[in-house]
Amino acid sequence: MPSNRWGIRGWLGGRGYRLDRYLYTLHRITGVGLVAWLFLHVYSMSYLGGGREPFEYIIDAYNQPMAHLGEFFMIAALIFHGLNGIRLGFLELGFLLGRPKRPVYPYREVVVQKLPRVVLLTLMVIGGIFLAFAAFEYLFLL
Amino acid sequence: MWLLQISTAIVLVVAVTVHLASFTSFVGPGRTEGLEFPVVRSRVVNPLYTVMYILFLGAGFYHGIYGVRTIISELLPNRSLRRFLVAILVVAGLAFFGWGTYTVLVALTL
Repeated sequence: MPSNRWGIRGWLGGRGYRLDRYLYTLHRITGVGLVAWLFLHVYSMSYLGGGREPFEYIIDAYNQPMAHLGEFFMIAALIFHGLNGIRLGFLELGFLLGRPKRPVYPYREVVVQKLPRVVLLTLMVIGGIFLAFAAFEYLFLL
Repeated sequence: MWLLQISTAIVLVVAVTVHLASFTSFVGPGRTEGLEFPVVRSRVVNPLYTVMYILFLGAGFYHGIYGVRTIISELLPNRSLRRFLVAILVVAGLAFFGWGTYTVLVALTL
Protein backbone atom coordinates (compact mmCIF):
# COMPACT_ATOMS: atom_id res chain seq x y z
CA MET A 1 0.00 0.00 0.00
CA PRO A 2 1.38 3.45 -0.87
CA SER A 3 2.26 5.38 2.28
CA ASN A 4 0.49 8.66 2.87
CA ARG A 5 1.47 9.83 6.34
CA TRP A 6 -0.46 13.09 6.09
CA GLY A 7 -3.74 11.65 4.78
CA ILE A 8 -6.06 14.19 3.16
CA ARG A 9 -4.24 17.04 4.97
CA GLY A 10 -1.29 16.20 2.72
CA TRP A 11 -3.37 17.38 -0.25
CA LEU A 12 -3.84 20.85 1.17
CA GLY A 13 -0.43 22.05 2.13
CA GLY A 14 2.88 21.33 3.69
CA ARG A 15 6.43 22.53 3.89
CA GLY A 16 8.09 23.20 0.58
CA TYR A 17 5.00 22.58 -1.56
CA ARG A 18 5.27 24.04 -5.05
CA LEU A 19 2.71 24.72 -7.76
CA ASP A 20 2.92 21.12 -9.04
CA ARG A 21 1.74 19.83 -5.67
CA TYR A 22 -1.36 22.01 -5.73
CA LEU A 23 -2.03 20.89 -9.31
CA TYR A 24 -1.91 17.31 -7.97
CA THR A 25 -4.55 18.19 -5.34
CA LEU A 26 -6.75 19.97 -7.89
CA HIS A 27 -6.35 17.02 -10.30
CA ARG A 28 -7.73 14.68 -7.63
CA ILE A 29 -10.60 16.97 -6.57
CA THR A 30 -11.68 17.54 -10.19
CA GLY A 31 -11.27 13.79 -10.87
CA VAL A 32 -13.62 12.79 -8.06
CA GLY A 33 -16.11 15.48 -9.18
CA LEU A 34 -16.03 14.24 -12.77
CA VAL A 35 -16.62 10.61 -11.69
CA ALA A 36 -19.68 11.74 -9.70
CA TRP A 37 -20.87 13.72 -12.72
CA LEU A 38 -20.36 10.70 -15.03
CA PHE A 39 -22.76 8.64 -12.88
CA LEU A 40 -25.28 11.52 -12.90
CA HIS A 41 -24.88 11.97 -16.67
CA VAL A 42 -25.61 8.29 -17.39
CA TYR A 43 -28.75 8.60 -15.24
CA SER A 44 -29.87 11.85 -16.96
CA MET A 45 -29.23 10.57 -20.47
CA SER A 46 -31.13 7.35 -19.77
CA TYR A 47 -34.26 9.49 -20.36
CA LEU A 48 -33.21 9.69 -24.02
CA GLY A 49 -34.04 5.99 -24.44
CA GLY A 50 -37.71 6.82 -23.73
CA GLY A 51 -37.98 9.16 -26.72
CA ARG A 52 -38.68 12.85 -27.20
CA GLU A 53 -40.96 13.63 -24.22
CA PRO A 54 -38.85 12.11 -21.42
CA PHE A 55 -35.71 13.62 -22.96
CA GLU A 56 -37.21 17.12 -23.16
CA TYR A 57 -38.48 16.72 -19.59
CA ILE A 58 -34.97 16.07 -18.22
CA ILE A 59 -33.38 18.80 -20.36
CA ASP A 60 -36.01 21.29 -19.04
CA ALA A 61 -35.31 20.13 -15.49
CA TYR A 62 -31.65 21.13 -15.95
CA ASN A 63 -32.56 24.39 -17.65
CA GLN A 64 -32.08 26.66 -14.64
CA PRO A 65 -29.30 29.05 -13.49
CA MET A 66 -27.80 26.76 -10.81
CA ALA A 67 -27.65 23.84 -13.26
CA HIS A 68 -25.94 26.08 -15.86
CA LEU A 69 -23.40 27.12 -13.23
CA GLY A 70 -22.88 23.44 -12.36
CA GLU A 71 -22.34 22.67 -16.05
CA PHE A 72 -19.81 25.47 -16.28
CA PHE A 73 -17.87 24.11 -13.27
CA MET A 74 -18.01 20.65 -14.81
CA ILE A 75 -16.57 21.98 -18.10
CA ALA A 76 -13.92 23.91 -16.13
CA ALA A 77 -13.01 20.71 -14.25
CA LEU A 78 -12.83 18.81 -17.56
CA ILE A 79 -10.55 21.45 -19.11
CA PHE A 80 -8.23 21.47 -16.09
CA HIS A 81 -8.19 17.67 -15.61
CA GLY A 82 -7.63 17.05 -19.34
CA LEU A 83 -4.83 19.57 -19.82
CA ASN A 84 -3.08 18.66 -16.56
CA GLY A 85 -3.51 14.99 -17.51
CA ILE A 86 -1.74 15.65 -20.84
CA ARG A 87 1.12 17.26 -18.87
CA LEU A 88 1.26 14.29 -16.47
CA GLY A 89 1.19 11.85 -19.39
CA PHE A 90 4.19 13.54 -21.01
CA LEU A 91 6.07 13.54 -17.71
CA GLU A 92 5.14 9.89 -17.07
CA LEU A 93 6.50 8.88 -20.46
CA GLY A 94 9.72 10.81 -19.85
CA PHE A 95 9.13 13.72 -22.24
CA LEU A 96 9.55 17.37 -21.24
CA LEU A 97 11.78 16.51 -18.30
CA GLY A 98 14.76 18.46 -19.57
CA ARG A 99 18.32 17.22 -19.60
CA PRO A 100 19.62 15.55 -16.46
CA LYS A 101 22.27 17.41 -14.50
CA ARG A 102 24.77 16.35 -11.89
CA PRO A 103 23.13 16.72 -8.46
CA VAL A 104 24.98 19.47 -6.64
CA TYR A 105 23.85 21.00 -3.34
CA PRO A 106 21.22 22.58 -2.92
CA TYR A 107 19.85 20.35 -5.75
CA ARG A 108 17.27 22.94 -6.81
CA GLU A 109 18.37 22.98 -10.45
CA VAL A 110 17.89 19.20 -10.81
CA VAL A 111 14.31 19.27 -9.61
CA VAL A 112 12.99 22.42 -11.22
CA GLN A 113 13.90 22.93 -14.83
CA LYS A 114 12.65 25.39 -17.35
CA LEU A 115 10.98 23.14 -19.93
CA PRO A 116 8.30 21.55 -17.68
CA ARG A 117 7.50 24.99 -16.27
CA VAL A 118 7.12 26.51 -19.76
CA VAL A 119 4.84 23.61 -20.77
CA LEU A 120 2.82 24.09 -17.60
CA LEU A 121 2.38 27.82 -18.23
CA THR A 122 1.47 27.19 -21.91
CA LEU A 123 -1.18 24.65 -20.88
CA MET A 124 -2.54 27.12 -18.30
CA VAL A 125 -2.91 29.78 -21.00
CA ILE A 126 -4.64 27.29 -23.34
CA GLY A 127 -6.88 26.25 -20.41
CA GLY A 128 -7.71 29.90 -19.73
CA ILE A 129 -8.76 30.43 -23.36
CA PHE A 130 -10.96 27.29 -23.31
CA LEU A 131 -12.43 28.41 -20.00
CA ALA A 132 -13.31 31.82 -21.44
CA PHE A 133 -15.08 30.07 -24.37
CA ALA A 134 -16.93 27.82 -21.88
CA ALA A 135 -17.99 30.81 -19.76
CA PHE A 136 -19.29 32.57 -22.89
CA GLU A 137 -21.17 29.47 -24.06
CA TYR A 138 -22.57 28.21 -20.74
CA LEU A 139 -23.09 31.40 -18.74
CA PHE A 140 -23.70 34.29 -21.17
CA LEU A 141 -25.43 32.70 -24.17
CA LEU A 142 -28.15 30.98 -22.10
CA MET B 1 -3.57 -1.60 -15.27
CA TRP B 2 -1.61 1.65 -15.15
CA LEU B 3 -0.93 1.43 -18.90
CA LEU B 4 -4.69 1.05 -19.41
CA GLN B 5 -5.20 4.15 -17.22
CA ILE B 6 -2.98 6.17 -19.58
CA SER B 7 -4.59 4.63 -22.70
CA THR B 8 -8.10 5.44 -21.46
CA ALA B 9 -6.92 9.01 -20.72
CA ILE B 10 -5.95 9.39 -24.40
CA VAL B 11 -9.33 7.97 -25.52
CA LEU B 12 -11.08 10.38 -23.14
CA VAL B 13 -9.23 13.48 -24.38
CA VAL B 14 -10.33 12.68 -27.96
CA ALA B 15 -13.89 11.62 -27.02
CA VAL B 16 -14.51 14.60 -24.71
CA THR B 17 -13.28 17.00 -27.39
CA VAL B 18 -15.59 15.47 -30.03
CA HIS B 19 -18.49 15.30 -27.55
CA LEU B 20 -18.16 18.90 -26.36
CA ALA B 21 -17.76 20.17 -29.92
CA SER B 22 -21.44 19.17 -30.37
CA PHE B 23 -22.40 21.79 -27.77
CA THR B 24 -20.10 24.64 -28.76
CA SER B 25 -21.29 27.36 -31.09
CA PHE B 26 -17.71 27.97 -32.31
CA VAL B 27 -17.51 24.63 -34.11
CA GLY B 28 -20.97 23.09 -33.70
CA PRO B 29 -24.64 23.98 -33.15
CA GLY B 30 -24.10 25.50 -29.68
CA ARG B 31 -25.33 24.40 -26.28
CA THR B 32 -29.06 25.19 -26.63
CA GLU B 33 -29.51 23.94 -30.19
CA GLY B 34 -27.14 21.00 -29.56
CA LEU B 35 -29.53 19.67 -26.91
CA GLU B 36 -32.70 19.93 -29.02
CA PHE B 37 -34.21 16.50 -29.62
CA PRO B 38 -33.95 16.41 -33.46
CA VAL B 39 -30.27 17.47 -33.29
CA VAL B 40 -29.52 14.91 -30.57
CA ARG B 41 -31.40 12.22 -32.50
CA SER B 42 -29.44 12.94 -35.69
CA ARG B 43 -26.27 12.24 -33.66
CA VAL B 44 -27.32 9.17 -31.70
CA VAL B 45 -28.73 7.26 -34.69
CA ASN B 46 -25.29 7.41 -36.31
CA PRO B 47 -23.49 4.08 -35.57
CA LEU B 48 -20.12 5.88 -35.52
CA TYR B 49 -21.34 7.96 -32.58
CA THR B 50 -22.67 4.75 -30.96
CA VAL B 51 -19.20 3.18 -31.11
CA MET B 52 -17.64 6.40 -29.80
CA TYR B 53 -20.12 6.70 -26.92
CA ILE B 54 -19.59 3.07 -25.83
CA LEU B 55 -15.79 3.54 -25.95
CA PHE B 56 -16.27 6.84 -24.11
CA LEU B 57 -18.36 5.16 -21.37
CA GLY B 58 -15.91 2.28 -20.96
CA ALA B 59 -12.88 4.56 -20.86
CA GLY B 60 -14.63 7.02 -18.54
CA PHE B 61 -15.68 4.45 -15.97
CA TYR B 62 -12.35 2.57 -16.07
CA HIS B 63 -10.31 5.78 -15.75
CA GLY B 64 -12.56 7.26 -13.07
CA ILE B 65 -12.86 4.17 -10.91
CA TYR B 66 -9.14 3.38 -11.17
CA GLY B 67 -8.42 6.97 -10.10
CA VAL B 68 -10.80 6.86 -7.13
CA ARG B 69 -9.33 3.45 -6.18
CA THR B 70 -5.87 5.05 -6.05
CA ILE B 71 -7.17 7.81 -3.77
CA ILE B 72 -8.92 5.23 -1.53
CA SER B 73 -5.72 3.12 -1.30
CA GLU B 74 -3.74 6.16 -0.25
CA LEU B 75 -6.18 7.56 2.28
CA LEU B 76 -7.67 4.52 4.02
CA PRO B 77 -5.36 2.41 6.16
CA ASN B 78 -8.04 -0.25 6.82
CA ARG B 79 -7.60 -2.98 4.20
CA SER B 80 -11.08 -4.53 4.50
CA LEU B 81 -12.79 -1.12 4.27
CA ARG B 82 -10.68 -0.28 1.21
CA ARG B 83 -11.63 -3.54 -0.49
CA PHE B 84 -15.30 -3.06 0.39
CA LEU B 85 -15.42 0.48 -1.05
CA VAL B 86 -13.52 -0.50 -4.19
CA ALA B 87 -15.87 -3.47 -4.69
CA ILE B 88 -18.90 -1.15 -4.42
CA LEU B 89 -17.32 1.25 -6.90
CA VAL B 90 -16.52 -1.50 -9.40
CA VAL B 91 -20.04 -2.97 -9.20
CA ALA B 92 -21.63 0.49 -9.53
CA GLY B 93 -19.28 1.34 -12.42
CA LEU B 94 -20.10 -1.88 -14.28
CA ALA B 95 -23.84 -1.38 -13.69
CA PHE B 96 -23.76 2.23 -14.94
CA PHE B 97 -21.57 1.25 -17.91
CA GLY B 98 -24.22 -1.36 -18.79
CA TRP B 99 -27.02 1.18 -18.31
CA GLY B 100 -25.27 3.80 -20.45
CA THR B 101 -24.52 1.26 -23.19
CA TYR B 102 -28.16 0.13 -23.15
CA THR B 103 -29.31 3.77 -23.54
CA VAL B 104 -26.91 4.35 -26.44
CA LEU B 105 -28.11 1.17 -28.20
CA VAL B 106 -31.81 1.96 -27.64
CA ALA B 107 -31.18 5.50 -28.95
CA LEU B 108 -30.08 3.96 -32.29
CA THR B 109 -33.75 3.09 -32.93
CA LEU B 110 -35.18 6.57 -32.16
